[in-house]
Amino acid sequence: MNFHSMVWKEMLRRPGHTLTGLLIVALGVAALVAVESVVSSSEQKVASQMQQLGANILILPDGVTLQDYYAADAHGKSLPEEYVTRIALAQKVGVEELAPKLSVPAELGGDSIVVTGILPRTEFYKKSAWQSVDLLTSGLSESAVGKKHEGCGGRSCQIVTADKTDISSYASTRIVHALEMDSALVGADLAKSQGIEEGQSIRILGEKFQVAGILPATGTSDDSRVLAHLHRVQEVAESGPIVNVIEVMGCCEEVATTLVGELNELLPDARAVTISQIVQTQVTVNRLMNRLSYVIFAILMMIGGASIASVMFANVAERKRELGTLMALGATPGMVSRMILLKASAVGLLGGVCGLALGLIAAFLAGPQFLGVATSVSLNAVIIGMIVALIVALAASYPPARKAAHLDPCLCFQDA
Amino acid sequence: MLQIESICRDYTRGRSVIHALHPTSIEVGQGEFIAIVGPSGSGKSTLLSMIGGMLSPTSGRVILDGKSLYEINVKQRSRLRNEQIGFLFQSFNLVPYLSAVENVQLPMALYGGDCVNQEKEARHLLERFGLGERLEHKPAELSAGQQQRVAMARTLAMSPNLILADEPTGNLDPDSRDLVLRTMHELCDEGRTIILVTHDATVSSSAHRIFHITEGHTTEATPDRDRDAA
Repeated sequence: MNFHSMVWKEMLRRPGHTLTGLLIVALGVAALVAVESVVSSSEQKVASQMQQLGANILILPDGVTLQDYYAADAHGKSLPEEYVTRIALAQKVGVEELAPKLSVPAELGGDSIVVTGILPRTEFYKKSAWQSVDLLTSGLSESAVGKKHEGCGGRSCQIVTADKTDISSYASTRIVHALEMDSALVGADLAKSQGIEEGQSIRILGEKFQVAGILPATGTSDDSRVLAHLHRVQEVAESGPIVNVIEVMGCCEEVATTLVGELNELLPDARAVTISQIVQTQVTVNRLMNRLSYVIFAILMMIGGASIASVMFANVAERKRELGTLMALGATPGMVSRMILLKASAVGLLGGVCGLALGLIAAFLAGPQFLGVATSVSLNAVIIGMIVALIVALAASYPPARKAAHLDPCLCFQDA
Repeated sequence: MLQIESICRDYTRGRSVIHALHPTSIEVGQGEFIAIVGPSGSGKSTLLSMIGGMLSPTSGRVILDGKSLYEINVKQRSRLRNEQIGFLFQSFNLVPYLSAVENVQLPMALYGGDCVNQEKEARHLLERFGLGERLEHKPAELSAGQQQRVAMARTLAMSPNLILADEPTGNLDPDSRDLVLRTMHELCDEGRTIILVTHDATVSSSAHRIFHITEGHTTEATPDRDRDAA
């Protein structure tokens, strides 16, 4: 037996008292770790999505909200396709790609799907209207529909290379290089669920389309769509030369910020927003949750601290004779207070570890289930949670430890 | 071995001063068995506490083996108490969540050391007191007599030269009381000094010297004078 084992045995003697403080500390740490882990994973996902999407700008019809757009574009409003020409002719700095799209509901194999008409990159080469402009000599063959951004630190101000013409580049460029009028590209998830393969024929909106390829998984709603030539979709949907949205790919974030204003000026009855603005809401919510988790943590730590202090004071009062006897046997006041503090630190550490385990379980369950994020551990939260739990336990036990150290050893001479 | 030089203890309550113990001087030699008798509240426990280095006297000195107890710091005094003074209490004062052997080990474990040897020594002491079958029992699982024997084993754990006992037989049956007294005398024969506080005349009469305390005043009596008084 030694000093530490004596403390441990005393804790085990009345576990109920210890458990109350431990539980509250554990809850506080669990709340912090769970929320922080989910928030940080969500932020990582958002950041990764932003990186994937690049410095994109969305041009939406005026009055269409971002939620409408992400609810499968079926907002009923449209933009003239002619806006695409206007943007190309305006030759804005840093505009790399233009992707006008028209999404219409359809049916395939008995399931409701969305067909998105997209204008392939090669269409921009063909536009006779543009031949009158300096675009050809300014490198249209390089597929730049805007002026080059000098000193760009972004994606590329890219030149179209062989890898960019492959459909697998869709995930990063959001552009299909070439697409025949009667061809279609099927999203990865839709192809899997319907058993569709390349070369197969499918019927959409009463018309036959040849499956030219299966798109790689992008993690977006495009995975469950069919992409076809914009003009073909306009024809079968009888919509006329309209689009739901024009995606503008800027070469970098710096350009995107300037372009928004310029495009809003160029197209006054449309609305240009950056992807970062779209995700800003999510980032704001994340930050709010982050702060909230710290507030909850602080409140629970205060309650836990008060509970530990109360339990320790009661413990010292209950053990007056025992502590007096220890002093009679030769324990110094410092030893006696160390016993109390050692007990408190055990409560803090155990509470922290239990809270950590609870928090991680909650995060790994709740993250994917409720927020669609694969959770990873927030190391910050783990470290802060454990350290604060220990400090709170020690601080709360300091007054009772001092009281214990100042006990009168003569108490041991009192009758039972 | 022990010199108590004019120690007294006063308490101040507002403007009044309470003299718990008037100036007392006692000289105790090695191997002596001293009994301190007196009514409740007379100052017996106060005197014992001061001798044991647990209560600073208002004035005077306690010198144990040449060391003035209250002229060293708290840590040194605690260490000295651990190594040279053993205590025996009326209520045994065993730690309820430790087994018999762990209770005996307690004084040895306070300042670290070899746990294995300490446990061996504790077991040996308990076997000496006939508790070899009760080593792992908690105090609640022992009778009063057995608990006091554990307490005695604990008192001897550090082989102290001075043993201070506060009514050690107060809660015991006659047989257990006799056992405790016999043990006390054996310890005296081994050269240890025992100072015992008691109400029990049977216990005090077996002491080498008897001190009476009444209202804080200490006087020495002899065993013969006590018998005559009875």
